Amino acid sequence: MVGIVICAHGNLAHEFMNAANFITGQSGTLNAVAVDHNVTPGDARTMVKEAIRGADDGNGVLVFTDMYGGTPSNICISLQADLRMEIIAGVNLPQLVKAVSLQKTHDIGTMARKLRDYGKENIFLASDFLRAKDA
Amino acid sequence: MRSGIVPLANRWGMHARLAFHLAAEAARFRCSVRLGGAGSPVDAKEIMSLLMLEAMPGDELRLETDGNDEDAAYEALTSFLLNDAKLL
Repeated sequence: MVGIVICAHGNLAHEFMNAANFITGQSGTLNAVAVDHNVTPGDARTMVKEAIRGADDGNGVLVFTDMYGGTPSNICISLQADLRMEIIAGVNLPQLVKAVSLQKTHDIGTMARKLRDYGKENIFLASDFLRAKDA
Repeated sequence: MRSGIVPLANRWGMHARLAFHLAAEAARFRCSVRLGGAGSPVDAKEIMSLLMLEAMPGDELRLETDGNDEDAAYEALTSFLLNDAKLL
C-alpha cells in the first residue's frame, strides 16, 4: 500500500488529516507532520524524514505539502533523492479523500499523477458552477 | 439495465462522509452505477460527482445500474441509501 504523509505549516497537516479521517471513517492510513519555526531546520528535516520513512511499507510514500516553495515543501524536496516518494505541492481535501481510496490499488507514480490532476479539477468558483447549472 | 427511484434517507442530505462511503459501496461492483437528482445522472463511484448532486434529505434519486452484476449492485445501493445513509 502506498503510504501517505501530509507535511505543512503549523497545525494544517494534522487538521487536514483529521478532516479526511472524519470523512473516510478510517484512521491510520494518513500521517501528518508539522513544520514550524520553533525547531531548528535540522530537527525539522529529521522529523519529516522519519515520518516519511515510517509510512513506507516498501511501496513508497506520496507526500502532500501545502505550498510549493514553502519550508515543508522544500524539506520534502530535499529528501526526494534518498527516499521512495512523490510530492504533490498544494494539497486539498478532495485529493486526500481520493488518495485513501486509491492507495491500496495504485502504484505511487500513477497515484501521484492522478491526484495532481484530481486536485486541480476539483477547485470550483462556486458562482460559475451555479450559473452553469442554471443555464 | 436496472433503474428506479430511491429516496435519500438521512438528515443532512448528500455530504462528504456519505458520498465517500456511497462511492466505495458503488465501487465494489463492476457494472456502471449512476445516480441522478434534478439533473443528469452522475457516476456514483466518484465522490465529487456525488457531492455535486446537491441532494437534500428526502430527495428522490434515480439509481441506474448497468452491467453483469447490475442486480446485486442495485439491491446493495438501494439498501445503502435507505439504511446506511441514515448513520452517516
